[in-house]
Amino acid sequence: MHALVLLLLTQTPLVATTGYVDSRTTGAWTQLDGAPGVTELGEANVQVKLTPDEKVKFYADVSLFWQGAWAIQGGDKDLANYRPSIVVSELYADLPLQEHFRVLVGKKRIVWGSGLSFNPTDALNPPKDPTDPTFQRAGAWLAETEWGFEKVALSLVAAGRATRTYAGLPTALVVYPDHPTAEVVRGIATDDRDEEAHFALTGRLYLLLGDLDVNLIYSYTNLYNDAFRAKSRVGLSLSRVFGNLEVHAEGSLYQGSARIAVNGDCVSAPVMCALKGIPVVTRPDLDATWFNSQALVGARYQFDDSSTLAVEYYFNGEGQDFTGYRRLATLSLQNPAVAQQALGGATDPGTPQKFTLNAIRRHYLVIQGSKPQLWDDWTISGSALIGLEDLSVQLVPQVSWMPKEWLQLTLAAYLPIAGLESEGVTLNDKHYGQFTLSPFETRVLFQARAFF
Amino acid sequence: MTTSLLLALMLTAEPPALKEVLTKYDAVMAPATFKATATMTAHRDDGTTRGYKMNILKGADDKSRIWFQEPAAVRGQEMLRNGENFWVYMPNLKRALRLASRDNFQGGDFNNADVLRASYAADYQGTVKEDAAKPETWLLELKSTNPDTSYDSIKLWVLKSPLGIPVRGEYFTSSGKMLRSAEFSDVKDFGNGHKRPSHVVMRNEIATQRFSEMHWDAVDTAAPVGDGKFSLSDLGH
Repeated sequence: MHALVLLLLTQTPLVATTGYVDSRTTGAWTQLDGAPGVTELGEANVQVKLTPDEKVKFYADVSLFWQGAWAIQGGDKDLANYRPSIVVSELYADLPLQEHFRVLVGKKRIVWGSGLSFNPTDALNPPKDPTDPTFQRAGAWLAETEWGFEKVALSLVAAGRATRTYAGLPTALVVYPDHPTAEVVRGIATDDRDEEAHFALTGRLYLLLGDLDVNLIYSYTNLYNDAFRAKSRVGLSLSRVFGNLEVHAEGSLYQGSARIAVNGDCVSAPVMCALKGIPVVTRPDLDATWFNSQALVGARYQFDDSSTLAVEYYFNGEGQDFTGYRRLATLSLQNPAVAQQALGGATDPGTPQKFTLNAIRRHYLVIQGSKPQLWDDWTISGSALIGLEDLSVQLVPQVSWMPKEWLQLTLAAYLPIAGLESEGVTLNDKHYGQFTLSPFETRVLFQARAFF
Repeated sequence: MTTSLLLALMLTAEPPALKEVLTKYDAVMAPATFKATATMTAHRDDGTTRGYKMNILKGADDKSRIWFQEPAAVRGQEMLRNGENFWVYMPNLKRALRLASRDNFQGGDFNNADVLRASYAADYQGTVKEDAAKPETWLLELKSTNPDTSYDSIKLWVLKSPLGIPVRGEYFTSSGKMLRSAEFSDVKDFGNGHKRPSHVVMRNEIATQRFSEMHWDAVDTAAPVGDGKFSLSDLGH
C-alpha cells in the first residue's frame, strides 16, 4: 500500500506543464523620433516538459508576444520592434544516456558564470537586462555533451547562430541561405548575407574545490554574437558562501576588441561620409594582439528577514574611452539609426526586455535590493545601474504584490539620471549621460502576470 | 502493576549517550537515503497562507535535492545540498545560485538547513537529561560544533521509546535568543520500518504571528537513489 501511494505521489509525470500570461503596459516620456509614448506587450508563455522515458526528455519554453505602440514621436508609425513575434526561449531534447553523461540538442540557455547582472564569460546567449536578469530565458541553438559528477563536470558545446528568422522563428543556422530575402530583392532592405560560418565552440570544466565553485571556460567563436572572427577566449568563474554572504567573481580574457570607433569627422554628417565612401564607424582593434578582458566581482547578502542586497562591479574591456564615448554619444543623439546599427549588430535579442543596455563605457556598478513580505505579499525592490565614469544612473524602483499565489502585479519606474556634465555630452544646451541617450526619458511600467 | 513498573523503570533510567540519541534522531529525520513528497504551508502575519509541494531526494553523505511542484510561480525551482554547499536552481535565470544554509526556505519559517540538512550527530555536542515536565522524553541540550550550522544551540525533546523521535525543538542564536520552535507530531509508519513525525510546525519566535507547517506525505527509504542527481550540472534537467 505504501509503495503504491509513493509510486503515485513521486513518479515523474509524463507531461509537466507550466507557464503564464503577462501584460506589460508602459508609459514613457520620449525624446527621440521613433519612440512610442505608450506600449502594451502581451505575452502567453508555455513551458512543457515531456518525459516519455528515463533516457529522453523533451522541453519547450515558448512565448507568443503581441505588442502595440501608440503616441509615437516622429512620422514613422510602424515600428519593427513592436510587432507581434514568437520567442522560442528553449526547445531541446535532453538525453541522459548514463547516470553521469548526457547529450542535449536544441535551443537552450546555458550559463556557467556566477555574475548576476552581467556574465563576461557568456559567449552563447542573448544579452540580459542587468536591472532584472530574470527576464531573459532565451538560449542558443546548440548541441551539448556533459559529464557531470558531484565535484567535477565537463561540458562541451557547439552552437550555431540563427542567420535568418521570421517572426522569431529560425529558418537558417550557421550560414546564410543562398537566396536573399524578398525585401532585399525589392530593394527595401540591405543584403547582410556573407559566406562565413557563424558559430561558437565552448567548453567548461567545473570543480567544487572545498566549498568553492570554480568554472574554467574556453570559447572559440566566429562571427557569432559579436564581430570577432576565429576568436579564442578563456574565462574563470568563482562563487563561495561565507555565512549569509555569497561572493562571486567572473572574468574573460582575450585578444583585441570588437568595440566600434566613430570617425570624428562623420559624427555630424554621417550621410556625407557615406556618400564619399568614408566609413562612419570602424572596428580597428578586431585583430589586435593586445590582451583585453571583461570582469565582474560581486556579493549577495541575505538578511534575517529575507531581504537581499547584491552589489556587483563590472569592468567592460569593450567600453569606450572618453573621446570615443563622446563621438558615439553625439552620433546616437544626432543619428540614432546609424548609431544603433553600428552598436546593435545582428545578434538574437531573445525575449523583449524591460531595459536594454549597450555597455558603451568601461566601469559599472550594479546595486540590487529587495525586501519581501513588507506587508502581506508586498515586495519592494530596486536596482541602480551606475556608470562610474560619468556617474550616470539608471534607477529602477519597483513594488510588487502577489494577491494570489498565481497572480503577481508589479509597478516599476525607469529613471535615467544624466550624471556629471563634464563627463557627458551636451547637445542643443541639454546635457546627456550614457543612460539618458535612450529614446526614452522616464518610463513607468505596470505588469500583471498570472501563472498556471 | 507491570505497566507501572515498566514506566517507573523507564522514567528513572540513566540517560543514554548523546551520540546514540543523535544518531537515532538523524536516522528518524534523515535516513541514509530516501525519496519523499512533502507539503509546506507558510502562515503569515496577516493570517493568509502559501502552500508549496515538493519532491525530495536524499542521498548518502549529506546530499539532498528538492524539486518544487507547486505553486505555479515556483514550479521548476530546485534546491541541491552537497555537504556544506547549498544551491538553488532558478528557472527564470536558467542557472543555479549559491545559498547560505541559514537562508529562509521559500520565505517560510524553516531555513534551508532545517529541510535539507539533519546531521545533528556530526554538528552538535551537549547533554542528555530528564525533563520533569515531559517525563516520556529526553531533553537534549545541544551546542553547535560546526560554524555552518543554522543554530548555535538547540533544546530538543525526543521520545525515550522509540528513542530519537522528536517531540519539540527550540532553536537559539549565539546570544541565547530563541529564533524558532518546532512541534513534531503524527508519528507515521512510512514502510520499510521507517517511522517519523509526519507533521512539523515551525514557529517564528521573532515574528510570533508566523509559522510554517511541513507535512510529509510519503517517504520511501528503499527507493534507489543514484549519485547523478546530486551534481550541480544536473540541476534544471
